[in-house]
Amino acid sequence: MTDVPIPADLWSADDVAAISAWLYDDGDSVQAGAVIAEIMVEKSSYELIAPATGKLQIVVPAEAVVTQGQVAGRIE
Amino acid sequence: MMVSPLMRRLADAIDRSAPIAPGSGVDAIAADDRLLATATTAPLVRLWTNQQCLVTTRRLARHPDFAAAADISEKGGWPVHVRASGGTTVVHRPGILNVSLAMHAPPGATDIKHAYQPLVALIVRACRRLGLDPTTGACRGSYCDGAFNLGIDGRKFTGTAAIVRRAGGGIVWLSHAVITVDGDPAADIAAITRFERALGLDVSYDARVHTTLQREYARSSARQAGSAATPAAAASCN
Repeated sequence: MTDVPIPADLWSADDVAAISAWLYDDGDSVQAGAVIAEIMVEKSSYELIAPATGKLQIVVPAEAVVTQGQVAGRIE
Repeated sequence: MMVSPLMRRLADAIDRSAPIAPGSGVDAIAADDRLLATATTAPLVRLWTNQQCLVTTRRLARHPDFAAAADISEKGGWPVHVRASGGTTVVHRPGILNVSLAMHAPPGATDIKHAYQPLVALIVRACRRLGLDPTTGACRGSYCDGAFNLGIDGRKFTGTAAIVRRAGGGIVWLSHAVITVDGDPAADIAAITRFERALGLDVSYDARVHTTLQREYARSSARQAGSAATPAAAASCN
């Protein structure tokens, strides 16, 4: 099981960030390096990249506010 | 694709060395990905136009009714394409100048305003050369609203969005502006509203808070000639 963390170094920690969309459904197979979700900060999109190949388990749903370092999903 | 004299003047004032690239739908949007891939520490500017279409986000493209809503929009003359940058649905068409700016973020820079500010400064400087003095800020009631809109007297004529990616051990930024030079913002709003309502979204945009650069240029010219200025819109930016 590999955690999919929210990046800690792409935007300022005091900005409000939210997962705008998961680009795969819960349980989908994903490839390492694929863009699996999009995070939005002030109309800027940041891509969440799959750190491993496997089945995606979504932990934080779309539209939810996230914090840096938070585990947004897992890949098993 | 026809380029109006005002768009030509604006483009020259933004970057005389950058030609206006005519675009054809999704290919024009994909070219921003290529620009981002070639980003350096020196900003790269791309000026471009596109055929009439709506450009929406990956978030809305994941909506279960997306295909049906896109079909309705296309039948109304507005095919729908998807972009990687943030925000919500916008319009591309002749009369709209797109400006994309790609650059490497300075080491340690994470504040997104530093990605928007060079783009906004470029457009503000160009507008001032045309005798206009835009301000930056949110514009309540506008479509794809954001803190880095450009407006004049409470009316928005430019929206912006950005993409942030990792590349080469650093971070690259692509900021993008959609400048409504001429045409009918009310028709733009009607197209966006039809598409987004077909997705089941409860949207309502106010045409009074949108304008075109051509209108503002005419107002400014009339003021300078001593004519009465048109009253500002009831709603306001900032």
